[in-house]
Amino acid sequence: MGQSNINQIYNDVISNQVNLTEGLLAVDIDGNILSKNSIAEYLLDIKSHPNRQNFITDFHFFQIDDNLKIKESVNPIIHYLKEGLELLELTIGLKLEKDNYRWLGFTSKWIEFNNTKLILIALFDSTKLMKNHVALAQKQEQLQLLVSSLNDIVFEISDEGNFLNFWTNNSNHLFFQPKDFLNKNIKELFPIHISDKALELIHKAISEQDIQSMEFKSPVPSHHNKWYQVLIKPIFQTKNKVALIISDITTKKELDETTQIRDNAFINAFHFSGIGSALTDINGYAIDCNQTLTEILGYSREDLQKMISFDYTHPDDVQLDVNLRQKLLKNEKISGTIEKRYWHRDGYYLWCSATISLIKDKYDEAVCYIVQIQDISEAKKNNEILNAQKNELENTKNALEVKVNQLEEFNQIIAHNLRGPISNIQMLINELTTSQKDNDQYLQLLKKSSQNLTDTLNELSRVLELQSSEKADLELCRFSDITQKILEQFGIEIQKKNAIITTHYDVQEIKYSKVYLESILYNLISNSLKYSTKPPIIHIETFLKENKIILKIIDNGIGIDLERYKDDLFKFKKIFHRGYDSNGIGLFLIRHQIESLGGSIDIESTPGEGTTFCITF
Amino acid sequence: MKLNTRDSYKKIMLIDDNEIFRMIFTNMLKNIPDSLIEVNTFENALDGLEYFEANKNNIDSLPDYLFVDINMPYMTGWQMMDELVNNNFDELQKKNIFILSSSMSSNDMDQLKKYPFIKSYINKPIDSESLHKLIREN
Repeated sequence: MGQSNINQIYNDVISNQVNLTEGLLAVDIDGNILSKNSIAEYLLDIKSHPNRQNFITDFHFFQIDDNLKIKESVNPIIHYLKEGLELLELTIGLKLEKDNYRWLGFTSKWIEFNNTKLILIALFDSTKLMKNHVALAQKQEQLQLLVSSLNDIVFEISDEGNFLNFWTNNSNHLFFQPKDFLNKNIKELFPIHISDKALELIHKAISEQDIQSMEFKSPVPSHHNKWYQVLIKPIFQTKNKVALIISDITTKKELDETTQIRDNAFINAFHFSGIGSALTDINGYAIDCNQTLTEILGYSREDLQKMISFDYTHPDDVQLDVNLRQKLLKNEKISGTIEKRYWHRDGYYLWCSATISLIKDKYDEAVCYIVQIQDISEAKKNNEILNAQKNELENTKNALEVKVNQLEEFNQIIAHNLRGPISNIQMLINELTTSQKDNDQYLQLLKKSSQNLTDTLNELSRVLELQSSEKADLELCRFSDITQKILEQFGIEIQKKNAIITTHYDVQEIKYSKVYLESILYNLISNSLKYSTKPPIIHIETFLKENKIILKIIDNGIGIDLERYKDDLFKFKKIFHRGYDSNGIGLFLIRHQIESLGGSIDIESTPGEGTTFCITF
Repeated sequence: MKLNTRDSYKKIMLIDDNEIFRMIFTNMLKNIPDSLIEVNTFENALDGLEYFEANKNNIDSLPDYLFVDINMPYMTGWQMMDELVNNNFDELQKKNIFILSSSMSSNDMDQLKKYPFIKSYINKPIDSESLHKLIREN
């Protein structure tokens, strides 16, 4: 075909089209481009490639496959047009520089021109559309991926409740076959209590443009006992449908129920316990407490929430409490029990057994303490009473032992000191009646014996009075005053013997019988002065030992052989030293005085070196 | 009345702190018929022991009869018996030794077992007749 023909085609067919947005070109059966407009020239990038003269041989076309990959396409002319077909909006791509593609909508039509069959091709730029399509397809693919990764089922449902579409990863999740529910109304498929609520929420989601949710239990036998959560999401700028996402929450529901039961069990155990219980925060403020606790401590729940536990703990017990809490915080123990005193609202302390345990979250952070408190003041008091009774028993036992010893001793006194004179009297009477001789002498002896007996009885009764009389009057006695008084009585003796007497009183005073204390000091000082061969040195001291007042009288006298005499030392009418004026009453008497007031007397001595008497009051 | 042989000459010793008893005891023995009696008394065991110590080599000085009270100052009769054992007064132990006491307590009775050489335990009071009998029969 000559140039004139082309111009003719152009003029007649193409250039006549004014305001074209489409590229137009005429191609003969062999692919030769006979005519083209400028838009076609642009779209096919002919300016950059002036050798593109034949549509079949000079172009490579591309297309996008199902996987959104670009691959070479067959030339539409070869494939379709040569066979006389026409094409409508086939999309093909043309490669530009730098891997850019121009996508072209391709429409063809057969025309007759001067008895020659020509192909009229219209092209429009669909690059933008193609890009959108690809992006959309990619998004859809992502969505598919997303859906397949979920166990949820996503439905599209109309505002009237018709199921329009669905996505699921596993069709087993569906209650019905797709054909049985698509385009069906929710009311036909679900019981009214589910469908009505769902419809209500669908309307709400649309009107409020906000997500709604509900839970329901499976109404169908194939999914027995399953629990589902429904999320109803409005679709942006859409008023006639929503997305409905169904999730299986059976496991969570079961867990929730278990937790709920456990929580209930704890709440019941906490609130209805007979033990006072409190949840306190880490600082010790009560978060909650039960009725029993408020009854034990007298504070209301509100009071306890405003105070830390140390505010109502005995100051001496705070450290104990702190130590336990620190051990719990350091994971040294799970829980611990202490006995501590709480300050009751009514203003007194009460003994409680407190068991404290620490609650931690899953990150091992301390959350709160559980404190359980039992009032043990009664038990404590009973214990104290028991101890007091035990002490009393112990004291009674000791007193009884003393009494038994004293009784044995009196038995000895009767055996030796009373039977002696009495047997004398009996013998004398016997002699007087059987013999006529020596009567005067016997009468004299009888008189003497009688006097002897009376003296002994008098001495004994002094001691017996100590035993039987009420406790002596106790008064505050100053050791220094009484010692001074006694020393004055021995003034001449002290001077005669050149005695040195020293005193040291760590304890100044004692509540005691003044008469007894005078008797004790008189007898012991008298002994120290009496049983000595060299100038006596006597030291008198008082001090406290194991909470008891001790009086010591230390001398440098002749001493006594304790191995031999210790057993008899404090007994009635026992005399150990020849050549001294002794009656054997002194030590016996003061021992009874001391014992009658609950004390004791002991002795240490080395013959020739001295004696120490030690009185424990 | 005629003095008998040397055998009937009896030396008797009493150790007792009670002066009255010593006098009664001595008087009772004075009246024993047909015997020549020599009575020695000490008021405590220490004095008695001193006498025995001083006459340790003189057997003739030992009494034929020794009466000892229990309850005495410085040293009891029992302690004196211990001394007789400890200081080997063997000859004396062969003599007639009696404990003479007003005590009837079982304590004292039990003590007796410790000293097999003691003839017997005599309770005060005693009368002359039984004392005479005792001397005659031992």
